[in-house]
Amino acid sequence: MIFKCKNCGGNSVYSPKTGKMYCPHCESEDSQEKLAGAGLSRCVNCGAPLEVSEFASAMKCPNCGSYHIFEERIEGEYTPHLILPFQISKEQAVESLRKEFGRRVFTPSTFLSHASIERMEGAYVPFFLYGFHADASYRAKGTKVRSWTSGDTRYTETSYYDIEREMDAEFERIPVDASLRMENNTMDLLEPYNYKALLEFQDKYMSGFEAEIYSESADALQMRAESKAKSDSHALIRDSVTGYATVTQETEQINLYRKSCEYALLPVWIYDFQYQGETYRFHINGQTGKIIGKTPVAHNKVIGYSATVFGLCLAAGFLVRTLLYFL
Amino acid sequence: MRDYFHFFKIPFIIIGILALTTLAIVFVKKGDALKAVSSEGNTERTTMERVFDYADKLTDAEEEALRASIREAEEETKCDIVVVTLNESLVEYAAQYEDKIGPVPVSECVMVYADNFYDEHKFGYNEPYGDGVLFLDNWYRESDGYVYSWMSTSGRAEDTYSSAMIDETLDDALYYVEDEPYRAYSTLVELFRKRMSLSETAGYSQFTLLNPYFIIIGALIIALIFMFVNFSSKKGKRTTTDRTYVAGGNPSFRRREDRFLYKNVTRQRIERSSGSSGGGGHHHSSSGRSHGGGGHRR
Repeated sequence: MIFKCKNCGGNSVYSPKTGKMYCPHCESEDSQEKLAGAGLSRCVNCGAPLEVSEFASAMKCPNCGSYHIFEERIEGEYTPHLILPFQISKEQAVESLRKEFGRRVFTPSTFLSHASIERMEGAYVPFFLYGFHADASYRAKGTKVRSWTSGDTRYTETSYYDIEREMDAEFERIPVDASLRMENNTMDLLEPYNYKALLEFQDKYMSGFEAEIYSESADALQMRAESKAKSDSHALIRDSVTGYATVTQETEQINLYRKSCEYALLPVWIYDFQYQGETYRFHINGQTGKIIGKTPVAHNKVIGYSATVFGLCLAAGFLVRTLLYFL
Repeated sequence: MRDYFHFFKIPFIIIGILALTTLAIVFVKKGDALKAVSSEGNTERTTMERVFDYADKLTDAEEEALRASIREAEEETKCDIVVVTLNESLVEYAAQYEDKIGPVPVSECVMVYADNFYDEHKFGYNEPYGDGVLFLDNWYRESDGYVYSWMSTSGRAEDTYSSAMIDETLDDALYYVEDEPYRAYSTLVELFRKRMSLSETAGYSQFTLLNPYFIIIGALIIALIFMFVNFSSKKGKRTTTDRTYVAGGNPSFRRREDRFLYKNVTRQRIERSSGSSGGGGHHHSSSGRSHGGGGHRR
C-alpha cells in the first residue's frame, strides 16, 4: 500500500516531529488516503519494477522515491502487536551524530557530508518482547573482616556467615531483535527504549520508513531473552548481598516462566559512511537518539595533528626556556 | 585545511605571542647583558690588577703570562679571576673577625682573608661583589703544621661550583705547586675557564627541567597522549541496568537471611624502624656578602 495526499497526490509520510501524517510536497497534515499496492513486484506509483528483499515489509521505490508498505507482510502471523513510532527526525539524528563525532579530531572531513546523509534511512526493526516470571534461590558463604591495633600487636578478626536468598522478579518486555540483517550486539546496545510510547500497531506509522518482518521465530529467539533475564536475576541477587569482604557462591538456581511474548517494531536510524572502500555503519535509536557506531580514523590527520602538537610543545618549551634565561 | 587551522587557532596564537614576547625580551636584555659584561659592568673595582704575588713565588715574566691568560679567561667566562699568594700566619688576622662570623678554625683562616680580599677590592665581572673567583695560596705553615689554600667563589661562580667541584679543582691544580707554582696557578685559571664555559654551553644548570632533552621527550609524550586520547572512536556503551526490565524496578525477596556462624582472630606483631638525614650550605663573609668556597691543605 502507499499513503497518498488527497490534496496533491504526493506521498504522505509519518513525521516524528509532529507525530502526524505529513505531505512533503504541499505541506498538508493528515491529508492521507490509503491506496492498495500492486504486490511485491511493481511500484503502484510509477510502475517501476521493485526488488523486494526476502524479509522487507516496507521500502522506498528507487525510481520515484515513494514509500511502500506490503500488506501481505503485515497480515496474519506477521501483524505486529505493537509499534514504537519514530520520535527523532532525520535532522535530529544527523545533529546528534554531528555532536558526537563531528568534533573528533581524527574523523575524516567527509563524515556527515551532504551526499552521505542523503542515503541515511529510518527502519523499523522487528523485535520480540518477552515477559518472564523469575524464581531464584541462592546460597553462599561470606566473610567480614575487622582489624585493630593495640600496642605493638595487630589483631584481625574474620567472621563467617551463611547467606541465603530466595527472590521473585517479574521481567517485562525484554527485547530481542528478530532481524537477521541486524547485528545482535548492536541492537542490544541501542536499548533501552521507553515503552510508554509503544502503541497498538497501525500501518500509517510505517510510511516514510523501511521495515522488516521477523526472520526468526519467537521460540527460537527465546533463549537470548532468557539469558538476559538470568544474568539480570543473578546480578539482582548479588546486589542484595552487601557488606562482605569475600563471598563464595555455593548454589544458585534460577527458573524462568514465560508469561508473554509480543511482536513489535522499534525505530532505528541507519547511517552508512563510506571511507576508503569500507562501510562504517552507525545505528541511532529512533526514540532516544542513542548512537552506536565507530568512526574511521583518518591517518593523514593523525600524523599531521600529532606532529603539530609535538612541534607546538617543542616551540613552547624552547621559548619558555629562553625567556627564563633572560628574565 | 580549514579544520586544521580552526583546531589549532588558539595554540598558534599563544605560541605566536610567546615568540614575540621572547624576541622582545631577548632584544632588550641582550643590550643589558652586553652592557653588564663589558668592562663598564663594574666601575667600582679598586684595582685592575689580578695577580697579587705577595709571597713572591712567580718571576715577573710568569706574572705577566698569568695576567694574559686571566684576561682571556675573564673574557670567556665573564667572571673576575684573582690569584693571591701570601706567606704569613692568618690566625691573628681571622681572630679580628670572630665577633662577626664566630670562631674560625685554623683551616678556615684563609677563607676569611680570601672573602675579605675579594669584597674589599669590590671584584665582580658584572657588578661590585658580583661574578668571580679568588684563589688564595698561603705558603706560611700554620701552627698545626699545614699550609692552607682557598678558592672563594661569588655570583655565577658560586652557583656553578659545588664543594666537590672546588675540592677537585684545588687538588688537581695544587699538585704541582711546591715545585712549579706558576704551573699550578695557571692550571687553576685554566680549569676555571673550562668549567665555567662548559656549564654555560651545556645549558643553564638551574633549569634542569628545561634541558633540551627533557623538552623533546616531554613534547613527544604530550603528542603521544594527544594521539591516543583522540584515537578512541567509540562503539557505544551499555545503558541498560539489571533493573531496566524488572516490573517496578525491584525484585521481591521471599527469603533474605545472613546467619552468623563463627569467627576467629589472628595476631601479628608490628615491626617499627627509624631513619635520619643531613645537609650543608653556603656562608657569608664579615661584610655580609654571600660566598661559596672550599679549601686545600698540604
